[in-house]
Amino acid sequence: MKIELDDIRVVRGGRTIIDGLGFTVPAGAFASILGPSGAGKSTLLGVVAGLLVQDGGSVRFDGQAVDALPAHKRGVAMVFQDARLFPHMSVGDNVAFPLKARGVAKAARRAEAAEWLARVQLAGFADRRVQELSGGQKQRVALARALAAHPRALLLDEPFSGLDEALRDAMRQLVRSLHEQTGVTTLMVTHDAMEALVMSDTVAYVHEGGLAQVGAPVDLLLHPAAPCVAESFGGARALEGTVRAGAFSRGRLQVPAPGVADGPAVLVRTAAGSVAVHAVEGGGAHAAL
Amino acid sequence: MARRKGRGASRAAARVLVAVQLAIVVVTLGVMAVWSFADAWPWPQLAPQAWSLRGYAIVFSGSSDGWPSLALSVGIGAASSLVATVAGAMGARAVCCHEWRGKGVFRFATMLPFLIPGTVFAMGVQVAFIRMGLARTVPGVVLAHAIVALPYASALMIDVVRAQGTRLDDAARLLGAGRVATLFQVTIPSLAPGLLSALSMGFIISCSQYFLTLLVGGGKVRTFALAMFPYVAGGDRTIAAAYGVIFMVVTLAVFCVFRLLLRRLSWNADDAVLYE
Repeated sequence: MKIELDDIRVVRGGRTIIDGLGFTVPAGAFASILGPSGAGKSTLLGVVAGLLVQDGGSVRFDGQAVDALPAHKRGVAMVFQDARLFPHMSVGDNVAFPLKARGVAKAARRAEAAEWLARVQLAGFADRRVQELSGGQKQRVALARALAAHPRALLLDEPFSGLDEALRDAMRQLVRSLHEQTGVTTLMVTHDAMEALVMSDTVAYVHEGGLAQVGAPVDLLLHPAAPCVAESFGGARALEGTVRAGAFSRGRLQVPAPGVADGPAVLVRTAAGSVAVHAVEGGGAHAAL
Repeated sequence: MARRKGRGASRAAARVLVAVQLAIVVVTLGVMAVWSFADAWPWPQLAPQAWSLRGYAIVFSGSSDGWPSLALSVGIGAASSLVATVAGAMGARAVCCHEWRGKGVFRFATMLPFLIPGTVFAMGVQVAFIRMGLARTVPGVVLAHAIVALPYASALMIDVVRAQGTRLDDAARLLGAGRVATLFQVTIPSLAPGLLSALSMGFIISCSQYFLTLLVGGGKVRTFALAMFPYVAGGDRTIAAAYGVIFMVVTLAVFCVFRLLLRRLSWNADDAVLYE
């Protein structure tokens, strides 16, 4: 499903939080809204979900305005930063909840819930209490529950920021692979620039309630349109990946690296803002970009 | 050394305080329990001179209204705590989850029965209820008790609702659940520990109302507290104590039922404001 945001404006308590912001998420794409805390990213996601009513502009799904539709009729599901599992239900009942809301019979929804749990690597967890789960497991249950709703679009609100670094990487890979399997249009909010770069097809950089830049990850990395975009990639962060046929890749991020030998490589961004790819082996051949 | 000594002394002081507090409760209730079985206990004897079951026999005999008034007390307690809890929960949602004009005034108003002396409050309620035709009726007493229990229910529910916000409601709606399904499948069950606490609090408060019941019920609505009072005032301690013991057992039993229910719903011990 294609998501179009058109000139969205949100005013709360006399303060303009989002000021005339618009961009498009192509059908089936994985898009990220990137920006510092307080930039209005989560507010924007709330507007797409129908949890917040915007003060101006329009949200369109596949060309149809959904501004008048309440949240439960928009057909989008959301995974929140704080999982938000229902404490009075078992893990299986949590995942089956959206199916129950659609009137699926009990046996069928139990079977489907078990299937979704298996797909997030939690097979056999259906009868567990939510309180017994670790943070990472909770987030995976939330993901299974959202996908069980068969959403037209999946919204992710900082879904990994409550997890420790090792878990985060595993979760990112899981989310990516589920996105590829299901093909559901996904819109993720994050403040982690590298996360947005390696996971997304499109990145929208939001700054102070406005859109600073929107484009492919490599464009934001190599050709930042505003100082705030460049700064978001940090002082000097290294990204491990591989070079194949003159291109560095890590996740969805593809960066040209002419002259660098195939094999493991590191993408480095210096404080000054220049980006270079270094081969890990083979005498340190590198390409400055 | 000196420090350890100081700590030992403060621990001993704490023990004494706890012992005194326990003694006050246990001795008072114990004396009442003994009195309920005593036939004659003249001063200055330490123990009763004669024992009998006269007190209990009179409470449950056809001549007194022990059973009907007990049933009425339980009924009024259940109804008024339900009214107070529902109103308190709805008010808490309004205060915690929505922005509106006059919110501060509303919050203060729910706490008013806390601040106003009980007798003043009872007079006001009586005057108002006479005009509305609610005086001297059971629904009138239920409503009056509910108003007294409302601040407690509100305070409990505001704590619980504030901690939870609309987080789970939002999650449910984004999974396709409509307003009604969200209310009954998510909002109410997830607030259940708080709701149970408020219900049991309301029940206990209702049971302990005497003056308000007398004034609003006009003596026509005879709850257990009302049935008991003549014996307390009239000096027949055996009967009064028997009433007291039964009252205590019933309220404790209700309390235990709520506690058991709460244990079963113990997914989040922090929510069990009253007990844990």
